[in-house]
Order: sequence, then structure tokens, then C-alpha cells
Amino acid sequence: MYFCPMYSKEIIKGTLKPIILKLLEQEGRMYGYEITSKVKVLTQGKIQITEGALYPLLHKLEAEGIVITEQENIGKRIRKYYLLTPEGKNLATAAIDEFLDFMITIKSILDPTANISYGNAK
Amino acid sequence: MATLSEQQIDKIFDLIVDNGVSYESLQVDLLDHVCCMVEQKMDEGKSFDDSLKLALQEFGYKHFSEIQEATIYLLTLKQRKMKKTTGIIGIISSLLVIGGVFFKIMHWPGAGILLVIGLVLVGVIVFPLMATLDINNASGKMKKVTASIGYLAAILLSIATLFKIMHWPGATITYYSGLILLVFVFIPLFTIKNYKTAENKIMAIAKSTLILAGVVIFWGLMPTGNVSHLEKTHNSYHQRVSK
Repeated sequence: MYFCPMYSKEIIKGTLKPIILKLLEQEGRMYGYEITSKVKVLTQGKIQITEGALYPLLHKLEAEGIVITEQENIGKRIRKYYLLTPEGKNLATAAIDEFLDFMITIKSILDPTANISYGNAK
Repeated sequence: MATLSEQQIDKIFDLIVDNGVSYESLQVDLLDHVCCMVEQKMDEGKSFDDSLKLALQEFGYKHFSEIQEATIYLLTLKQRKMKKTTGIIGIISSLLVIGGVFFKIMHWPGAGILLVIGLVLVGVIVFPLMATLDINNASGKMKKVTASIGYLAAILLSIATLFKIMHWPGATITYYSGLILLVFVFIPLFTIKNYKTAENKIMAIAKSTLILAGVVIFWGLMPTGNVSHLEKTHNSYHQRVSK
């Protein structure tokens, strides 16, 4: 899984897919190294995605038709950009909503006194 | 921003290949990834060699082959599940057919239902699933065609057997289409392919003749006409008994 200095493996498991889908939805297209550095910056280094988790997942998403790739030549090497297919876009929205909903549910158990909102309710 | 020379890129590529990454699509990903890591370190003022060393330490040499294993594992997960399902249904349906034939020989009740369920499972589920798996895995057009024809013949023959046993119409035409496909298309293709690639040529021919022998036994013993030899004996026996 990830190399993650802040959180335990148990918590992190299952979050990689929504993170990647969200980033691709937001950025349009990204290459592997870009995804790892973006996550590192966004989480202030609390989550560092390892290549060993990232690339197998990207290839699986490609095989499932959720993402496609565009290749660009960078000097002698090829850079592979990953982008969401129309089907992948729908799936991304659903996966992100599901995860946000999950977080609210967990929060209501672990910290019932806190009155949380995620932008919608005031 | 540092850019790597062609020689430097080649060096990194060789390292990736030497560390066990053979999957081409992943080679492209990892080459770009390691190059990015090296370039970032070169931007911090380090030399190429130092940057590469640091990047590889960070990455971990063992990591390369592990990434490939993890990728292949994820990509074949669905297929492994499919193989398991096919295997389980395959065993159940074969046992049903064997049981059905045994019940029929023993004149026990329930032979018909066992054979129908068994043969339907074999012809409609097991062979098509096996065909999908084999055709996907087969390398080369020739192998794919051979596998498709072989399975089509097998599906036709199992359905023909079902129809024949149940005395449903259309059994004979299905049976002969399957048989002709098997003997005149599949076996020649199979023999040619096997003969070309086999180390032991005689063994390759033996395999084909054994399959042919199996088909001939099946053809010889299968009641094909309106009343088979087996049924004739059976009927005359019953006539004698009833007299």
C-alpha cells in the first residue's frame, strides 16, 4: 500500500482509488509521478503514494475502461498521461460522494459531539 | 529544470529491465517516473550519478519486480475468479453426466434429469466459459481460431448428445455438424500447430490420432440412426421378456 508516515495502514486502505479519481477529475490528465507529488503536496507529506500502489491500480483502471492514456514524447522517453473516460467520470463522482458520506458516518460514531458540515449545510 | 541525455535515459531503462520489469506498458510508466525523480534531484544541484543512486535507494531495487507482480495480480484477478467458477461448474456438470449415464445403464429413475442438467451446464456454461478464457489467453490468430473451432465442436456435440438422449428433434444435424467440424477442421489445425512446435514429432502425431480414436469411439457407439444397434438389442430383449 502507500508509504504513509502519519496514518496506519488499516485506515489508508481503500482510499487510494477515490484520491486518484478525484485528482484526475480535477486536473483533467496527469502522469504517474505528477500524481504522487501532487498528493504529497496536498497532504503536506502526510500521505505519500508509493509507485507499488499507484501503477498497478492505474493499469487496472485502464483495463476496466475507467481511464485511458495519452502518450507524449519527452526527449527519448514516453510520458503516459492518464485521463478519465466518460464512464470513469461518472464513477469518480459516485466514488467521491460515497467516500465523503462514509467519512461523515464514521465521524458521527467516533466524535458524536462535533457538529460537522461539509459545505452544504450551515 | 534538468533534462536527461539519451544515454542517461537508456541507462535507467536498462536498470528497470534488469530488475525484472518485462511488462512493456509498465516499463514506460516506470522509466518516466524514475527519470522524473532523477531530474528533481539534479535540480537540487546533484550530479546524474548521485541523483540516480539516491532515486533508486528511495525507490528500492526490489520494488521494481514487486510492482510488476502487483500489476499482473490486479489485472488477472477477474480471470482467476472466472477460472475458479468454470472449474467448479465443470466438475459438478461432469459428475452429473457420469451419474446420469450410470443411472441410465442401471435403469434407475432420475437418469434423464441428471443428464439434462449436466449436459446443459457443459454445453451452455462450461464450454463457452472455457472457450472465452482460452481464446483470450491464446497468443496468435491461428491458436485463437483453433480454440474457437474446437470449443464450438464440443458445444455442438454436447448439445447433440442431450437432444439424442431426450429424443428431441434436430439431434442428428447438430451431431454431424459438430463431428465434421471436429474431424475435418479442428483436428487438422491442431495437428499442424502441434507438429510445428513439438520437440517430439511422433508424440505430436500420436496426440492427434488418440483424439481421432476417441472421436471414432464416440461416433461408433453413439446411436445415430433412427434405431441403433444397442437399442435394437435392448428392444428385442424387452419383447422376449414381455412374451
